[in-house]
Amino acid sequence: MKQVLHLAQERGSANHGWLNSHHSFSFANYYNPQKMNFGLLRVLNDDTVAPGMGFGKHPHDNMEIISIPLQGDLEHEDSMGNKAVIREGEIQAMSAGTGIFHSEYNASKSDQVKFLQIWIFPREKDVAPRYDQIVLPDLSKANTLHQVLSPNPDDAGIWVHQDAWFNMGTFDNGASQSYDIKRSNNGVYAFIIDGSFEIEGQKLGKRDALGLWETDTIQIKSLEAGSRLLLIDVPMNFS
Amino acid sequence: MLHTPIKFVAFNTNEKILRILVRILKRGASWECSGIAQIEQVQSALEDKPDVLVIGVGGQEQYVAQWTNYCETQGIHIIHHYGGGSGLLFNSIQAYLDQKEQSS
Repeated sequence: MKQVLHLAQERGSANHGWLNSHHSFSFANYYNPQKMNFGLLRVLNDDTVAPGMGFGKHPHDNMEIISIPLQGDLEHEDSMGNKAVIREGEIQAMSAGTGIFHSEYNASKSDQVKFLQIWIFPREKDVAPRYDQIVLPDLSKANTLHQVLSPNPDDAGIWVHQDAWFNMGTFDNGASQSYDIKRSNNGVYAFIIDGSFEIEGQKLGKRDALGLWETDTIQIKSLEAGSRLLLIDVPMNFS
Repeated sequence: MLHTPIKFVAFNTNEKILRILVRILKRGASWECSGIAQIEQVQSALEDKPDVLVIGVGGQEQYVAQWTNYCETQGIHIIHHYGGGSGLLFNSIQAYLDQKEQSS
């Protein structure tokens, strides 16, 4: 088993006033050649946007873009005619493919929105752009990993054009769980949303992350009540 | 980074995105960029010896293979651009400049 540890305080950060962003991987003005990606996971931004503010209309192409609000609501509008609010407890996926323009704003005029934005390289380039959002399963059921994303439209969660699976869960203090990696040549990037965990012997706090690969299974143990994590199971390369 | 002279050719069949890419790739004080939306025109643009070819939407496999072979012989760096705006593009340019500095 190989592993890489990314501590929360070692992430890149950018505070633009209206946007406070923490970058797990190199992004925009943050450049660290040691942190360009984890396999085909290229971006994990932990964003806080001020009330009523947001990202104006901008393009994307050939990227699978997933947004997960952690607190508050995010307003989305795109060039395919979609206009929607993604609420806490929902997940949005956009396949940019041959090109899409979209905007994202904090839907509230009084409260911050906090969300994760995740970019994964697609399995194939130049697909037709698509947009989807779903309500997540009830994540309040403790000590269970819930699949929230997969490559299969018929499987649980939202789907994307990549052999990637996301699982989320909230755990009681001391609760343990094993996770089987879905596909050979995939790795798992475990991102701690809240609380603390021990994963394969490594203690991790809020917003720390541990990437693991060349293994089939990982062992997870919660170290405090209400600990919440996101497991990103992605191919380690394009082959 | 913005003060290092770089000559780009940007290819993208999505013309709206191409216009944005070209604007971004002219942001540096000494950056030049030619934007190309027609795949057949890329090869002749490469013969003008740019420093970097940026490949976006519409880069069909057989053409990309042909450009890659040509660029290797001419010392032209290739950036496969994903994502649309500048979020990843500036990272890719910085990586190119690092690589160039290490090899010189």
